[in-house]
Formats: sequence, C-alpha cells, structure tokens
Amino acid sequence: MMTGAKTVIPAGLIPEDGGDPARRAVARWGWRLFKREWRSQFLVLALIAVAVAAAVTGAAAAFNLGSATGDAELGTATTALDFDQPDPGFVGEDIAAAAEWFGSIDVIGRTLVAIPGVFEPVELRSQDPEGPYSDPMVGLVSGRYPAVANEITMTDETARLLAVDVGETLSLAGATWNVVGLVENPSNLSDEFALVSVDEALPLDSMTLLVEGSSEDRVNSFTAPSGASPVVRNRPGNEDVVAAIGALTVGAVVLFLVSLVAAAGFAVVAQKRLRQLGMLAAVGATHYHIRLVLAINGFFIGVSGSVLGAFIGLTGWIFLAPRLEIAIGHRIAPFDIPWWLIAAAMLLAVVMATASAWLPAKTIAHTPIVSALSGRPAPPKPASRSAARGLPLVAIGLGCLLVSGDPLSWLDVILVVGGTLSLMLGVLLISPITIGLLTNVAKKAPIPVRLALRDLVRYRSRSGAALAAISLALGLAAAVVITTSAALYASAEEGNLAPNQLLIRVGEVPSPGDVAPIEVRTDDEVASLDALVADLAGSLDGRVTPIDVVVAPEIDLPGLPGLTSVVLTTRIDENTFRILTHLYVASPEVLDLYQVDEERIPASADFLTVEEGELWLQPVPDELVRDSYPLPSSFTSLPGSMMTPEAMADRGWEAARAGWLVDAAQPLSTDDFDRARDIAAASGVTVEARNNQGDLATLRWVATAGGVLVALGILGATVGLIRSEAAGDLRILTATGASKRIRRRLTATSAGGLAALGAFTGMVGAYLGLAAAHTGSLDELSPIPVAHLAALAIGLPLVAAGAGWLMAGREPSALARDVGA
Amino acid sequence: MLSMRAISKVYGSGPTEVRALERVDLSVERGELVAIMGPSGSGKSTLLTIAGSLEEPTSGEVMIDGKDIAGMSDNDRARLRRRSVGYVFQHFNLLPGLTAAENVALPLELDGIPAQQARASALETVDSLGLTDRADHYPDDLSGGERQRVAIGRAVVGNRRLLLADEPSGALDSVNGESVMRLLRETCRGGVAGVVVTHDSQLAAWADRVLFLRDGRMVDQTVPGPGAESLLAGGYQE
Repeated sequence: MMTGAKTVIPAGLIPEDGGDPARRAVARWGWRLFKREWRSQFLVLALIAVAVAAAVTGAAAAFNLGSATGDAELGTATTALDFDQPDPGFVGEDIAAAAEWFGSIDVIGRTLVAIPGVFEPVELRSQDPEGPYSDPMVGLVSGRYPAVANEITMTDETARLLAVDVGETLSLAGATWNVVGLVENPSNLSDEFALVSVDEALPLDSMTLLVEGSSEDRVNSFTAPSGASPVVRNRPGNEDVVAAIGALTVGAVVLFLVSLVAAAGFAVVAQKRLRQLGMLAAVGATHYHIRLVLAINGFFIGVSGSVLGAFIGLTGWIFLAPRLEIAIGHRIAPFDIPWWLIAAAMLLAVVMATASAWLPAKTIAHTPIVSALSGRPAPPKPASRSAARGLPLVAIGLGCLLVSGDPLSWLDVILVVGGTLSLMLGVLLISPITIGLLTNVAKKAPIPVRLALRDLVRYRSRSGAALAAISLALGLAAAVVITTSAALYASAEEGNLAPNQLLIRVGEVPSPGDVAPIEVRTDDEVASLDALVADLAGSLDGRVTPIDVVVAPEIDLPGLPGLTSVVLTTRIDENTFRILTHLYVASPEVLDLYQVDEERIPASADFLTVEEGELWLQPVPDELVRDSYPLPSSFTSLPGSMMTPEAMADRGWEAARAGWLVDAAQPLSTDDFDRARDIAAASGVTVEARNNQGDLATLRWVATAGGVLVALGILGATVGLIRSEAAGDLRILTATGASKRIRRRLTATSAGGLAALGAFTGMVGAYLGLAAAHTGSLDELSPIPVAHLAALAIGLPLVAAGAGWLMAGREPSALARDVGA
Repeated sequence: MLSMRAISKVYGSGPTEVRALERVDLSVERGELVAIMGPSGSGKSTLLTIAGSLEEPTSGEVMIDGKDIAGMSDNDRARLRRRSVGYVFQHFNLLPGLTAAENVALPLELDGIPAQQARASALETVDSLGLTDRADHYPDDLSGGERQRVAIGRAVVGNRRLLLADEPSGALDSVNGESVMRLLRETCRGGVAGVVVTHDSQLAAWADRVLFLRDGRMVDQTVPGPGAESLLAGGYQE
C-alpha cells in the first residue's frame, strides 16, 4: 500500500518562504533547466554574447581610437620646451642647465634637410629611443637603432623618398650615412623623420627638451644660459577623459542593449515555461520562488554569454586592432585596453541578464495559476502607460546632453553617459506605442500583412523590448553614419592637398615659419617647365592649373635675388609682422579651384583670401588690406590669398610663375609620386602631394559595417523570437489551409515591420541625441548621409523581410505534429 | 477536511459573463474519496481549482482543515498547498528537469525541509508507489502510468491531507487508469480526503460518493454500489 511519507516539520523552525532548502531546490531546477534547455535559449545566449562582444570591442576601440597627440609629441613627459634656432655655442650648456633644473630630461634635436625634387624637407632627428620619456615617440620597425655617428634609421616613407633600404648607404646633409634600420613614431604614423644618434653633431634648426612633473611656475622660471626663451607646450589635459567618455559611453550603451535584448528573449522564454511555472506554483512555490527560477536561469545564461562574448570580443579586437592603425594614424597595443571596463562589462552583462530574466518573471509570477497551467499569458499592460513614463526620460536625456557641452570634465562624462542612457530608456518606453501605428497603416492590407502587424500589437508588451533593442542598434548605426559622414565632409578640405593633387613648385625649401622664396625663371625656362608639367599631367590623365605669384618689380630688397614677391602678413607688435602667405594672382583657373564665380566678386575687392583678421601687405608699401573677398577654407598648400589682375595692373605689379597644380583623375599612388619627384629633381623644381592623413573613410566603413551587422543580428534573432511566440497562430493558419506563401508573408511582414519601425525610432533618436549634443553648431552634423540612412531605413527592412520570407519556408516538424494531434 | 459552502464563480462581465459555478456545496472528510462527474463546461475543474486554492471563488466559503482560505495572502496560500493540499493533473505536470524522487521531494524542499531529509521521505513514498527502480529517472524516461504515480506521490508526500485529482486517468489507457484510481482510493483509505474529477463512470465507481454537476450546479449525488472495486482484481498493472 502506498504511503505518503510523513516528515516532521518542527513548528516555528522553518521560514515562511522555505528558507535555504527551498532556494536550493529552486536553484537546482533552474540549473537543470539551463542544462536541458539551453538550446531553446540559444538565441538569447547568442544575442548576449554578441552584445558583450560588441561592448568589449567597442570599449577597447573607443579607448584606443582617440587622439594620441600627447604621446606623439611629448612621449610620457608632461611638458616640452621648444628652442627655435638654438645657438650652437650654447646647446650643451642649455641642456646641462635644464637637466640640473628639471632633473630627468629628454633631448630632441631637429635639422631640416632638403631633398632634390621634393618640396618638403626631411627631418633629421636626434633622440635617444631609450630616453626616459621617448618610448611612445620612437619605435623600431626593423634593423636596429643608430648607435654611433653616421648611422641612421628612418621611417618607411622617408626611406621611400630617399630611395634607400636598410643596409645601404645614403648621402644626406653633406655626410654619408649607414642605414641600420626602420623606425616610426608609434603615436603618430604620419610623423616622417630620420633618426640619428644623440651623439651626432648637427646644426640644429630646433631643439625640444621633454620634462615631467614640473609646475608651471618652475617651468617658467627656468632660464637658459643662452638667454633663449623656449616655447612651452603642455600635454593636452583631456585626452584621458575623452577616451574614458568614449569607452564608458560605448560600454554603457551596448550593455543597455544587452539588457533590452535579454529582456525580449527572456520574456519569450518565460512564456514558453508558463505551464511549468504554473506547476511549480500549484505545488506550493511562492512568487519569489518562481522569480528565482527564471533569475537563476538568466544568471547562467548571462555568465555563459558574458564569457563567450568577452572571448569573441577580445579575439575580434586583436584581429581588428592592427587593421585600424593606419586609419587612425597611430599604433594600438591590443592588450592596452581598459580591463576594468571589460570586467565591469562582463559583470554588468550577468547582472543585466539576471535582472532582465527577473522582470518577465515578475509578470509570470503574478499570472493566475490556472491561466499559467493552461499556458494563457496575462493580458499586456496598456502601451500608453509606458509611453507616459518614457517622455520625461527623453526630455531628461536631451537636457543632460544639451548642458553637457564639450566633454572636458568628469561632470560632462556623467551628463553624456546619463543623458544617453536616459534618452535610450525613454525611446524604449515609447517604442511600444509606435507599434500601434502599424494597425492604422495596415487596415486595408491583405490578411497575412494585417495579421502579422496585429500580432505585433497584440504582443507589444514583449515585442516592445525587441523593438527597442532594434531601435537602439539601428540608432547606433545611424549615429555612427551621421557623425562619420560629417567628419568626412569636414576633413575633405583639410590637409595640404587633395589625394589626387600634385603641386609642382619652382621655389626652394622654405625655412621654418617662412614662406618659399620665389625663384625667377626666364620665359624660356617657364615654357620648358610648362611642357614638362603638361607631359606629367598627361600621364596622370590630369588637368593643369598654372599658379603665379604677385611680384613688385620696383622693389629691390638687399640680399634677395630677383624679383620681390608680395606677401600677406599679420601684425604681431608695432614693428613686427608675421608672414602668412604669398599673394597669388587670381586667375580664372585658380578661382576655379575655389569654385568662385568671378561675376560675384565686387569690383571694389582687390584681394581674395582665406585669412581672417587684420592683414597687411609686405614688404612695401605697408598697406592694410581693407577690402577683401572671403574665400572658403581649403587645402593649406593651395593659393589661399590672391590679388585680382586689375588691381595688380593698377599698382604696376606683375605675375611670376610659382608653380603648377595637377589635378589627376585618380588619387596619386606612391609610384606616381616617385616618378614626379624624379622628374622634378632632374628639372630643378620640387613636388608636393597629400601628406599622410587619417583614413576616416576606412574608419567609417568599419564602424558602419559593424553597426549594421549588429543591428541585423539583433533584428534576425528578435524577429525569430517574436514569431516563435506567435507559433500558435501559424498552427491555426496551417490547419485552416494557409499556404506556405501566406506563412512566408506573415513572417516577412513581422520582420520588415519591426525593422522599419526600429529604423524610424532609431534614426529619430540618433538625430535628437546628436542635435542635443551639438546645440549651436548643428551644421557640424551636415551633410545628411542620405544614401546610408536610406540603406538603414529602406534597405534593412527589405533585407529583414527577405530573410523572414526565406526562414518561414522551413516549418519545424513539430508544427505538423501539433496540427495533426 | 474540505468544506465548501455556497461557492459561486463568475468569469468576465456584461455580455461575456459566464457563471461557472452556482452556489455549490461540498464537504469531504478524511478517508473519503469523492468523485465529481458532469459534461464539459459543467464547472468540475473550476470547483477543483477553487478547492485547491489555485483560484478564488466569486462568493462562498472554502475551509481546508478548518482554515478559511478567504483573505489569505498569496504566500499563505502557497504554504497551504505545500503542507495540506496535493494536486494531481491530467497531464501529470511533473517538472522535466527533476528526477522522479526530486519531483516528489519538491513540496518538502519548498517548505524548508533540508534536501537530504526531503529525499529520504520522497524515496519512501516512491518505494511505496512501486517505483524504486525509477526514482532517479527523469519524467521523460517514464511511462504515462509511472508519471501519474509519481504525480500522486508528489501530491501526498509530507503528510498532506487533501488530495485533488483532475481527470487523473484522462491521459492513460484503461488499465493504467484503473491502477491510478485504485492508488487514489488506497491513499484516501490512509486518512486523506480525496476529490477526483472524471468523465468515466466506471472509474468514478471507485469513489465513496459521486456528485453530478451540470451548468455549474450540483444536480445529483449517488453512492456506487458494492462490487465495483472487484471488477478489477489484483495489484497495480502497467
């Protein structure tokens, strides 16, 4: 005979909620569920892993992709003292005095050496790579550092310019050098130089002393024996804060994404387990026990996803880092990442996954037991209630971003991160109500479309979280596209020349702070050079723009050969002027470079210039430029200040050929430049091409592709989750004779509808957030990247719908069994 | 043990209002097995869920072991289910992640009994069910009859005094159905008050009393004649 075993329960000794034994029992079941059913939660686990991987990679990238100007120019020092044209007789004394005054110092000597055929000189730099502050400034690429006199190393670009390899000898600056290695400035890959031993006796054009930890007063009170007054530069103070802002914001945003994704996933998981949880309640489990089961499951999913995601993220970062170095212009140490942030991200992912499982568990726990046993979920809460809570959060988020200004302090860090999170949370809460708009749109749509959209509305308490996750992912992608497009646009006219431009000059290498003197060529020489440039341009399929400077024949300055060119200057004090630029002739061809319509230039304007402020003509007559036509800012080596031919004629001034600008059909290759350099060297002229610039386009490509991929991943997974929730409808449809085509349209509409809504809310949120952060300078967000945003707003929904269509073609065998049962 | 007075249950309101139960009275004493029969929608299962505190009546009084469950907190009701009420479902409703012994021990552990002590009690119960060899098997590895016997074990373990069974043989073949009814009756004979809902009059014949519900009202009751039990001789059959 069966007996119900009697277990004595001492009154008063057992806690009302069952205490630890009950918690252990529930935890055991949670663990068993995780082990047995992890495959059914694979999507949630995968999404958490992807989000953590994105957080880890994003945080590492944000931490490393910022400016490294401080390291590039000061190494690990805090202050640099620059001596211009140091007196050779006092260099040793100045160094010794500085060492005594500051303690540990690093000395960097610089000598500029002209190279035949190349406009920009080569910098010979004497610096001890093992110096106390030099580590971030000098890195060995191959070979070894120069150890004795007449040994030299250089950057690869310099080696290319000088056409020399490691192991060869080189004649430069009147000496013969043995090339013993290749070096670089790891903190600025655009820094081109040749490194020589600190023992090398070179006439220095400038000298920099690096010091650390000295107060401003102590630095200013240093007196060099030579009497020279060095220019003091301090390390930019906000680089760490900016990096921290980037890393924190990326980490916080992506982890918020984790919680949204997890909440969406666990809502579905909890729904699937509704009957089992009802069983548990029927045998006496409390609400707390039921929540604990799901929270423990969430904890294990969180731990698994966190570890897996961190592994993927770190692997991805190690793979990605070397590929980003050229784009951002400095080396990246793959393991120099904010480990504390990675650990925090992993921990937060676990906490958020657990909390995300707890929230739907709370709803499930309050579902009537009878309803739970029969698998009927509780009715959703009205979406309007959620939206009413979301609006204030959006307002608070925008307010924080509005007052944050430039991110320079930790308060701004808090405002930026808090504002971003508040804005996103607000969008999350508002998202469900936007789903209701779909039904209005689809009133007269065919049945599958109408049914799919109504399903989204019916399940919006759960699909809302998914929609918010999609909105956030697409919002991030949109923000990346908008900001990188704006940055690309802003940087398009930066630098010395465009990538396809080659500037050929008749002048020599200028002294530092000076402008190139004009070498006067005879008409025959100019005609010969014209033909040479035409040939060169022809080989590049390019267009030639002759560039002339304004010369004043009546002025003959002692010590300068030939004609005197007119220059624009700015006044420093009563008797001192600083030369800004030559004055060029505003020929129609040159005006074309600025797309300036001659007809729009007022007759009274003799000058056109990109310069601002009070400008003077030099050397004579000392004339204040009173009426000038402003030119848009452009590349720095293009003629930036011009005089009209009419004004020149009035003053009796003439034009002299200064050079030619070749606009090639394609960006110049290194071979193109080398060929031009050789031709120029043979002809006594110099060439200049675009300096190395950070490749924002590559960065944008990487960032955009990454953002879109994450968005697509989340989209695909969440749509899958939502459709699985409505699997019962599919069964009914199938049983009532719906064809595969109808099922496909149903799923495609769900995916496409969610993607379209997500793109809409995401882009609106992105623009709101960016606009709030750029108040007063909204033009920094222009131009609108129409093509990219259209790809997000139209392309993604189409892709999502297409994927949904394809996925819906394969029905699980369980469906047929259920229908047939 | 169980006393229900003037129990009514109304679902919905207005045009969608459904009166599932209309002033139903039911009393079951310890050692007594009562069967409830009636057509679909007559309110049988609703009466059982109210008796088991899974659902609240719209009106009426439910007393279990002398305690009025009206006004009890959710946690008090949960404790009542852990300690006093055992529920057997048509589809067994065992937790798939727990073994047979663990399923039986679950109410004890939820009530704070240490795992080792709870397992010992559970094994004793499983043994008395003739499932000693199956104690450490998961529900997926058990037959339907075995699962329902485990479910009955879970319903009675820990000295619980009220056993409620909703179509306990509904998912079983006739032989296993009879076995389950025999088990329920023997359990009640041990001092447990039992209520079983069934469609099958032959199985209802195992009860001490049979009540008939129609449209939410108690319309009749009868006492099965002697000999019904003798229709099936022998012990448990699979």
